[in-house]
Amino acid sequence: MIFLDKVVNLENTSESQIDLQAYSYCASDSEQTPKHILWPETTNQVARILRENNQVRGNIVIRGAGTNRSDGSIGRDVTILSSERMNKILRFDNKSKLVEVQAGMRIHIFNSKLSEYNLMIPATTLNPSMTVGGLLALDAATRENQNAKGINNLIHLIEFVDGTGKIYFTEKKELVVGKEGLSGFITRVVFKTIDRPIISLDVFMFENIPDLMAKIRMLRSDPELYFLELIDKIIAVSVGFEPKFVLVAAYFGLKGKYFRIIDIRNILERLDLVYPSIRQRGYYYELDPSVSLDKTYDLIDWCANNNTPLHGHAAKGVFYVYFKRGDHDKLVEFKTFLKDVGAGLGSFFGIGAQNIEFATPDLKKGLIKLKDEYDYNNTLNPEKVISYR
Amino acid sequence: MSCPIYLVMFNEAAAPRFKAVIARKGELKGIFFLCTACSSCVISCPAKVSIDCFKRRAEMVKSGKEPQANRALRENIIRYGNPFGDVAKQKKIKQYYT
Repeated sequence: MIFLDKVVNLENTSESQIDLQAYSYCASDSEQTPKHILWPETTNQVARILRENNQVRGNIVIRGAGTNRSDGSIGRDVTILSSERMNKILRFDNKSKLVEVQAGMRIHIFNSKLSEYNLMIPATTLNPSMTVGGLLALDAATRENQNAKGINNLIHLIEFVDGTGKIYFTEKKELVVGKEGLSGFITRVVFKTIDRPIISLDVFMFENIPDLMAKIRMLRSDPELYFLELIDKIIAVSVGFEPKFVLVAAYFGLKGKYFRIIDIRNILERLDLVYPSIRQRGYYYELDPSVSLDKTYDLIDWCANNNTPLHGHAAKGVFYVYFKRGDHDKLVEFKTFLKDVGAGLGSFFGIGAQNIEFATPDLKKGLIKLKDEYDYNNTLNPEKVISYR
Repeated sequence: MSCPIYLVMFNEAAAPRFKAVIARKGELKGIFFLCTACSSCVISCPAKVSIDCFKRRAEMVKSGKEPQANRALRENIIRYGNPFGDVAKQKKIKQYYT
């Protein structure tokens, strides 16, 4: 790529064998070797790269932290455009609580810096290493965005660069949020952060699924609900609960049974142990089904009958299901089950290239329209989510 | 991501995840020397994967695949008792300070 040294510093480009090998992987099982890696540091560099690239119709795959499990962050013979070095907080106004951050900033680092001012963005993700850009590009499910007070409502302005290299700084977050990088490279976001809420918790335990579902239906409509986490019997034991279905409800305010900080911390720590406890038991493959409330019963029932660990955000209907390395047949069977019940995939890991059959007609239609307008030459994340031109 | 090397380089090739991939494949590469042995990766890793960079480094030295810099350091330690080589008293080590 002859323009590389004009656009970015040489230290921010690579074609070395070791770097190409490193960027052949994301969090999935696949290996796809790119031909270049670029690490822009500013929006202008991204714009110039995409403008030049558009002339030659090169293929670009956008990458944040590479936490994608559906091959969304890798590609064969493509240029990887990584946001890893776009990781600065650009502006912070303590009075208005507006924070301007580059999209390569990792969520947990971002929240850690905000916590010094008792502020936060409500985004506890399964993988805390996810970047801000990745979170928004996937419109990824988080623990907290289970009601209208989710993170999307905290986006004040969003900046992205489209496939032609044009920069947009806009309130129209729907142009890129949830679009898996197909319409543009998210470069920076202005968030309206929130004060750390005062919360209280309830922990409910159930032997059987009908009682569990009745409680979920009741709690979902609670306007004071902050989050509602479900842990199945398999996982409950390994994080210190009884072997029952466990529902942890968090509310704004003090109406929950557990409101002392020490009790809240104890329960939240157990929730944080859910993912590590599953991985340490050898579970490797993860899927992120999203189901309607009516079908949640079927999902929980399938997992219980097939001895498959499940946990998730019960109010939102987004769950995480795990399989061991040798369970490939079970995984295929599960995907067939998901299609039968009309469930979706990709609420956290994205649709990417692995789950294209789960892209809904509405999503495809919307993406094609965006591609027509913002990336007509289909240079950004080609062959991900949709087949375009 | 808590690896101090990655937090300076911001390159996946320096990250513990890639080292784990390479270790699992049984490959021996110079990136195992990009490690401070702080174990932040093991503490942060949900699956508690231990890459054991020291073991990989030992294998590389035994098989003659170590990086040139490491070979120079070793030879200097054996010959001069320090990794920098023969250093005259009160003199700076030019090649490391320019």
